[in-house]
Amino acid sequence: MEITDQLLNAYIDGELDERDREEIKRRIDEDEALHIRVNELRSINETLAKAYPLENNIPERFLAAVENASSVSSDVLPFRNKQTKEKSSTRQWFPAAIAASITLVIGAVIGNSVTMQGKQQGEESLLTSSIDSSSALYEVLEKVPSASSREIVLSDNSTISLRPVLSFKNVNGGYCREFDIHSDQNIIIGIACRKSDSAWGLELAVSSAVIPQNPNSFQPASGYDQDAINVVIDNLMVNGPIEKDEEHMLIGHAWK
Amino acid sequence: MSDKFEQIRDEVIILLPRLRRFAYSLTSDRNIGDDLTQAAIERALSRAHQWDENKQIDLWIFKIAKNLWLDQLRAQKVRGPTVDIGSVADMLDDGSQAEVETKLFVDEVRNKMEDLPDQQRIVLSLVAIEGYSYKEVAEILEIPVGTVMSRLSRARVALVAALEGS
Repeated sequence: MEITDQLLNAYIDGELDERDREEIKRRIDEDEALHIRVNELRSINETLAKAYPLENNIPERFLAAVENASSVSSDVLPFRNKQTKEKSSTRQWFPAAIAASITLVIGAVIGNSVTMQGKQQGEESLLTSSIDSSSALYEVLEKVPSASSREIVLSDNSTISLRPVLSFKNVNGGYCREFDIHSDQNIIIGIACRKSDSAWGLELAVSSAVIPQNPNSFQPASGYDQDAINVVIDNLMVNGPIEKDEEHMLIGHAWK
Repeated sequence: MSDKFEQIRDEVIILLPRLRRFAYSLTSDRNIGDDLTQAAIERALSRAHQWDENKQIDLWIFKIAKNLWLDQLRAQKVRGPTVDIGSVADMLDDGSQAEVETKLFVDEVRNKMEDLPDQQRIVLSLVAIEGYSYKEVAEILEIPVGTVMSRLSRARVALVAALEGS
């Protein structure tokens, strides 16, 4: 049998029948040059594995594409129901992927939405680590059910829309809510947790620019931004998102 | 909602990391690869009814990705060089010489991979990276097993030679 590169490749890939495999193996053992050749060819697999590692952090855009395809059209866009959260166990999220977006964003939130809101209310800021109890966001977190929006008209006649996305119990036994804020310029996604003194503290906020072509449709945050949110939620949340009825009760009892 | 649809959807979620890797290996660009991945999952979901239940779902989805990629190649015969911003940024981040060298090496591998003829690159990617058998690759690419075998061999041999020369 003439040992060609094609045969050696088939040998490496486990594509030969037993007789040919044994024959090739014997020839490789006898022939130093063949031995080297096989190792060269085989090394390509390892090399390619290094060049194309499997990345387990999946940008949210793909999961959104899957979810959008499955859902009957709905006004409630990123509302994540329980099934979705359960699915998240099949994803892994890596902190490395999120560090950049977090730093970038806290500043952006405070810089944009906050001033926007501040102008209207004559206050310095809307989002500080503790959310001002007279702010619209506080009101929304305190009173508005998940997936319902509240619109606010600013002094320049632009509107922003605030919406709780989901509520969950955190590892410390308190309650947290994911929310988003849409303005003409950007979308902010954040997580706030209620403290024992009735304050809502901001855990994380991520801002991304609105892509102008589609002003009427929801533009998801970039994958890594949503990853950041998911990492925080996955780390904070126990028992999955709170069901509608329970949330209704919590709102009625000021989250106690 | 059909069972088929749900099966495809579940498989898509499981396959996502591999589909992205596959698309990246074909396109040599993370963004273009991700666009390809997204197009593939959207098409798979919208055509769930076309999936033959006797066929392996993952092969069917990879086949969809392959077809989209070939469409893309046809559409843009002349491709300019692409710069992967991600890898440039990665390189600036890190200090250690060894890490920089590793990054230079994998960039080199990806460049050489990009230099391979498209039909060889896709076979090599499916066999050497995705671990598919020649028979499975033949099904994804809709070509005879013998063709898989010869293209795979040419691709691996060419890559060895290219990396030796660099």
